[in-house]
Amino acid sequence: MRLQLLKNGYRLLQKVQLFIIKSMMGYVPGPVAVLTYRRNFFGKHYNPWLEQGLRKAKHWSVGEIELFGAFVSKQNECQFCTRDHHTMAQMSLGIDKADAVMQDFEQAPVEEKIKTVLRFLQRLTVSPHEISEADIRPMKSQGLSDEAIEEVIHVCAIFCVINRLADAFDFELSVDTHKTARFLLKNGYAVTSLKG
Amino acid sequence: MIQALKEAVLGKGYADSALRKDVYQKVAHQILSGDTTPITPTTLNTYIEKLSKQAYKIVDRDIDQLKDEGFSEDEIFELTIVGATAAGITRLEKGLQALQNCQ
Repeated sequence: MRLQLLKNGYRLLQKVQLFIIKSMMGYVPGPVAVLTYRRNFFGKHYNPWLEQGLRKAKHWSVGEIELFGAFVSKQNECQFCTRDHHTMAQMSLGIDKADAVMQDFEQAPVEEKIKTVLRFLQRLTVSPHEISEADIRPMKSQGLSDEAIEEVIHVCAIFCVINRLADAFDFELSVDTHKTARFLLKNGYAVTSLKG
Repeated sequence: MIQALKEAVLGKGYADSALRKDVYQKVAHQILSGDTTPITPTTLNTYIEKLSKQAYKIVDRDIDQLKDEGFSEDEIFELTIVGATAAGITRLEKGLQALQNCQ
């Protein structure tokens, strides 16, 4: 962590909770640190978006959402987020499928509608100023509803925030990425902003 | 939810409110048009451009330079969050606008 306040700037109750997390996980995950510090400024408001977008999507499975998140993180070249979310996608969808998408999604053994979404996510992440209705049309042609498309737009936006924070603040890489992934798959993201 | 997030990061804080708005607008403008508008001081401008376009290239020295410029850790925390939030929310708005136009 590049800011000392993200190491020791917490209230007493938060410190206790962070101590427990560190004992369990071996480290304090960067998102927990950032979403907990002065949570009225950011964490309290970003956290519901995170939980809603990544765990309450109606049109995509958790594995698909995690795959989209890992993919967006890779476009942003965010090593921290790519690793953990890729692992969650592997655990949910299978190692071969998740790895194939992350390596070269155009050749991956996934449905065409997934590839269409990944093409869109790549454009919205890397060339957002070029996005127009022409980028939406292929997804609609694949039968995706407005609500399903809206959900993938939210995933892209959520990761474009946290990827930048991970790299700017220099989040520590997880000690055991499978442990982190299992925890997040079981508990979701609501636990990442600690009250106190 | 999204509006509350935007209002929070642009609301009460340690970093100058006008400067946080400038940071948000700078990142949003870059996403919407591909161009950037400079803000002052130059050190902050360079940092926010990196945050917006190539955050993975940020190094310790970038943060140290902001501290040398007189920014406190709380101000750096806030300005970074404002820039990152702008990068997300503006993409959200751009994507939803395209979806709305495709009816």
